[in-house]
Amino acid sequence: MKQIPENKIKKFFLIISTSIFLIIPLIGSPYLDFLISMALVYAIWALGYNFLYGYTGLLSFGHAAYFGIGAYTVAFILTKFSINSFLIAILAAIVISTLSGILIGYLCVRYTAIYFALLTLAFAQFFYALCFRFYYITGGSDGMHVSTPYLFNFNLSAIENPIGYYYFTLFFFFIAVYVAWRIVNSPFGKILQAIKENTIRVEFIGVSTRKYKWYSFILSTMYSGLAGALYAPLFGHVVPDLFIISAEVLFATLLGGTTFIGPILGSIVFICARSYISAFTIYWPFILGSLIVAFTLLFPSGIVGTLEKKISHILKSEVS
Amino acid sequence: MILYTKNLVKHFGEVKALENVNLSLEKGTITSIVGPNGAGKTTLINVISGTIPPDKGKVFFMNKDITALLPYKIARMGIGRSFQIPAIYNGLTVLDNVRVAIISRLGKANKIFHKIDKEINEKANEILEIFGFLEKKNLLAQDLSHGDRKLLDVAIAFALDPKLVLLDEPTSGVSTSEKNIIMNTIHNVIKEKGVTALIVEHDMDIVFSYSNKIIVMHQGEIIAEGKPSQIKEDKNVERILLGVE
Repeated sequence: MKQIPENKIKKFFLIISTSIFLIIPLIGSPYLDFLISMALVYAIWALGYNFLYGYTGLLSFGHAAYFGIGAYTVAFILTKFSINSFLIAILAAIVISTLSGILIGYLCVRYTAIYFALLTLAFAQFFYALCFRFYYITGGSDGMHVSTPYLFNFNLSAIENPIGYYYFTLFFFFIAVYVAWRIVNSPFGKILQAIKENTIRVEFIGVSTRKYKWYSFILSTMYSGLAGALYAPLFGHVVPDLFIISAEVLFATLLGGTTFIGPILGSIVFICARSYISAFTIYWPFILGSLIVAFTLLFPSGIVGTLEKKISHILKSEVS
Repeated sequence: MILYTKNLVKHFGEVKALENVNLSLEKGTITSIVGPNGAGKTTLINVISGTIPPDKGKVFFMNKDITALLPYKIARMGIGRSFQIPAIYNGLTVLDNVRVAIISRLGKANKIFHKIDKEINEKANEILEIFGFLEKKNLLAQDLSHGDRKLLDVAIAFALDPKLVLLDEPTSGVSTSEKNIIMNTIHNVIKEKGVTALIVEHDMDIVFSYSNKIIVMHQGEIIAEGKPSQIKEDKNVERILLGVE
């Protein structure tokens, strides 16, 4: 039997998945538009997180900090500063979250393993406390309303124009995927993968691993900031809890697996599962948490990793 | 002299791992370090490569003081090394294991939006061919045999196009038949590329066959050094290495 080249399979899946994303609004369900927009936001976040966790091997418990910074920056610009240009707000969100990542990452990458993870968590808690205490600026636990963003003169309210907002998010998602793909397959990407596999060895081939861990951290905060920026008008409200939801991006990544498309698929499954389970019971965090624990134990390589293993097993048995 | 040390001292508590070690390596030669377990052989390699700093003393490479420099800085100066337990990237393919070193050597690690170009692939394939890995290049490193893993570790060191390689027991844990294959490959590359080598090795047959110079260490000190024929006839060395009274 003639084997189909791997590249052709990849191209086929790319065309199919792109087409599905493009036609979702044609179904005519504003809720679905909202849901998938949210999944795309999480997918961008998880793609960035995967640079750090999946490719560089650094487990962060604090990436909600940069998501929150991105979301609050947009809220400030649109609501407090009354600048209604969404592009300016997004740019500012990316710049501020990246600057935070540069500073915090510089300190965190000096530590490894659990010390690194706890330090990232501590910084996220710090931002949460800051946001909570400075209520006269941030609205404290009540949070802040996010005004309608505009793309030039085009209304991008997620409520009034869910399709417009969906395509706007999809546009950024495609850019995020393309950039991530280029990075992962670049010489830089290979260095990150080598650091994950054997940090000490990388030092002995002439690479400062600390520097590259830092770069990876910065990249992930850039993506987190963009995701947070797209989240704010979608939800219409930002609250300090955004700074302490780091586990969600970790779950989404683990659920999909730390391959390239794993975090994307994991985010979609996570957001959809959360939405549907929460519609049935108020105890949804318990059920969702239990499902995630069970899934992680049974399928440690995530949805994509497990599927890849199954497919390669089938192909091998066919060949033999 | 490509490398020399001056009075290197390294103690681990009461244990004297290195005690006033003065060593010199001539360019283009193969020097082997032998000695019983705990003699300080690996510690010496670790100090030279920057893995651990010495308590006292200096290391000079091409007349530059490299004492206690970070490993990546030492590697960039042209010192490659392999490890007792193969230090490879298990989850990457054999090709990628070598490509990562080539990327670093060519100064392309910062290329964030570039593809892995022809130059990287050509140089990686060159190394893979020399070490006999061309047919296995798409295998994951974790799926290689122990001997191949040891050889891949050495291949990574050579992918840096080093002036000096430090090989820590390149044939340990490998079957006798594989030992000669590995050592022949290493020997040929060293001679072909004019690289200087410092090898820690336990197998005396290999040491006598491939070395230009042998250094014998015992309890952190160099107790003898010379050509293989001189070391073979040294009764004191025989007593220490074989435990003969």
